[in-house]
Amino acid sequence: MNFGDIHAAGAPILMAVGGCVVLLTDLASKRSATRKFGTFLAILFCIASMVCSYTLGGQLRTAFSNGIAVEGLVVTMQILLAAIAAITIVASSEILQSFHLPKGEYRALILLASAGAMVLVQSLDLVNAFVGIEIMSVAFYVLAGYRRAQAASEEAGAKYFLMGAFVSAILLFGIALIYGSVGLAMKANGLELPQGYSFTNIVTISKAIHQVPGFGTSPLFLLGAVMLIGSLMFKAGVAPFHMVAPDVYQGAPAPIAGFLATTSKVAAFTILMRFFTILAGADTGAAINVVVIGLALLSIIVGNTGAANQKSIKRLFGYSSVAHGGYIVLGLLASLGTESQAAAITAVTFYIVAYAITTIGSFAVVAWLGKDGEDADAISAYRGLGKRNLGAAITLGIFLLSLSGIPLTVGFLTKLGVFMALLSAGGTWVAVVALIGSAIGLYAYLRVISEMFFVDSTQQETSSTDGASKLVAVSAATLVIVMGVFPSQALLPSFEASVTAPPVSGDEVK
Amino acid sequence: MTLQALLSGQGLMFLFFAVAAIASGILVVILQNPLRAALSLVINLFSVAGLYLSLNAYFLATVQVIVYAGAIMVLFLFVIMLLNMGQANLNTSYRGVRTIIAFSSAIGFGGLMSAVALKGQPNVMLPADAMVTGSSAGSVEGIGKVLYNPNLPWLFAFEWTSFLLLVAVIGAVVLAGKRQQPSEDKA
Repeated sequence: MNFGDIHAAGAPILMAVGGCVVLLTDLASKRSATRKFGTFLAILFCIASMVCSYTLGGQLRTAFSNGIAVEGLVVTMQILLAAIAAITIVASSEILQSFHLPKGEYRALILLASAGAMVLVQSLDLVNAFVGIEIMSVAFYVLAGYRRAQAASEEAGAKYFLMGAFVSAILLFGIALIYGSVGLAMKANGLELPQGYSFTNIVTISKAIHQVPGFGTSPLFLLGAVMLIGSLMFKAGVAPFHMVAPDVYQGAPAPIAGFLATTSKVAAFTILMRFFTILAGADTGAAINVVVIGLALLSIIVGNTGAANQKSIKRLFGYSSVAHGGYIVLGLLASLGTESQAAAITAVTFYIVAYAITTIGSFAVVAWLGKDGEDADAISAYRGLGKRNLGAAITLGIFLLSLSGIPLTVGFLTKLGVFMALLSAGGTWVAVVALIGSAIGLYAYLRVISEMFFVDSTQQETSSTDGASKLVAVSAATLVIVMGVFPSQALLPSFEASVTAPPVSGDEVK
Repeated sequence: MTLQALLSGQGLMFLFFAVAAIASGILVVILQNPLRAALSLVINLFSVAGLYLSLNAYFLATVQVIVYAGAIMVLFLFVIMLLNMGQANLNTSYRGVRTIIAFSSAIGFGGLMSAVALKGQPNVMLPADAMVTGSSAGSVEGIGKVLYNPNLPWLFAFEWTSFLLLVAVIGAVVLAGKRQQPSEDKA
């Protein structure tokens, strides 16, 4: 262990230290004085974390005895996670004030949840991944139930906790099965453990998959892999593990819902991408393909049809997040093919970044239009919004168009990228089913847009005081359009860097 | 594991503790009385401690007994008694579609696990030294040398686990602490 190791692990360390500092500052100073200073401190640590990630650059480096590996993809995701945390903290000042919620603990939990997500993103050893996912999840359960006085929030927290605890056990079971199968297979075939790697390391698993004949189809490994994939999919809110997602997003205040929806997806899908890179080109039979196709299509169908008849806009976004999880899984599916792998990883990364921006923005609009911290949750509240508050209506309209994948928004380009990767991997019928799902989703989103612009309403305009949410929403909408019109100039170079240095491959350890 | 290996001293130990662990685990789920379920959990934790012992993990077995079977179970029992949970408060009737789904998926998963355990085994006999007989890895010293060694991957996970506990503590304080100005909160 040396300075290089600390530097590689620096982004989550800075976030965690920031969490402690914010918490202690809050305890030490008087309540009224901490509001602005605590926010300032928290954002300072988020920026420090981003800078730390950025200075790592795109090249692959491992640290802590190969427990973690950082390269372009991880750096991109870490910067994204820190940005989400900073935006959430800025956008939450209104709800914290209105509901008299403890502020220092809130900021600390957001920072620590992001630290856990970053540990998950950079981990190469599944043990580290598990610790990261637990830090993130425990903070999530608390955040989902943060507004204790409201029954819906409490229910969301309790449901999320029970399901999440169960899934963590399944994840750990899966990791244990993989550990056992890798160890047995390597001992039986006289393979040496790669120097400095443990049996739970992705590199070791990759060695077993690519060098032990029949390992990829052995039931012990497959069961472990399916349990691992399934529980990570739960963390990302993919159907049929989506049951809690709409409840949680509806119950939690809008900025928290936005944070939960984006951070969980960014973290879980990044580690899944890493796990899938070692499955690419390996003989794992049909099992993993069937599971992944099933999860993707089910999510797209369930998410889009579920969104179609919602009365609550936060539930609509909840189902929309399920559907978008499905599209991301389609991209992961394409990354299982060796030829389409590079394109698929780029597409998935771009999709995750774009989804994060759109979702944070959508929930910010819900908070912006709310009154006294209460979210504008009922879709009927948006009736005739175009006449009352044109700016808000256009902003929300941009997000809804992006979520449905209309050209000139970033949502179109991301869907296009995933479908192109899928077609080059040979998944034509899968793409057709997914497109039908998108058409159903289009109805769900356009219904809200028509409510806003084409239906008259007698509702009075409510003057909002939530300037922070307004700022977040408008800047996110601008980004959605800019990235949709000039994709290459805005963000694409950094993704190409990430694809040239995939975390691990089978060849690397041979 | 072959039949011969199962009938050795260590194999019999394993069989005893494994059967006890699974049986008491099932009892935890199906017993209606929460007190009895909690006491079954104690048996389960002791059996797992026995499994650790048969793997020469002395320290882990001791910690399992002291922390889980001792401290945590006492807390469990306190909570059950404080809430005065009788059978009357619990809706545990074994009826309805939900129960059928629960039972069939439990049996299905059990069958899947057994099939994998029986068939999925690669045809391999572990060398004799694979058993950790006489190894010091399970002692306090052995665990310390592995856990705190910067040249092994576990230090990183160990340090982050402390943050996991910190998050849990903050969460417990936030969710269970006194509410600030409850009169102004909107229900």
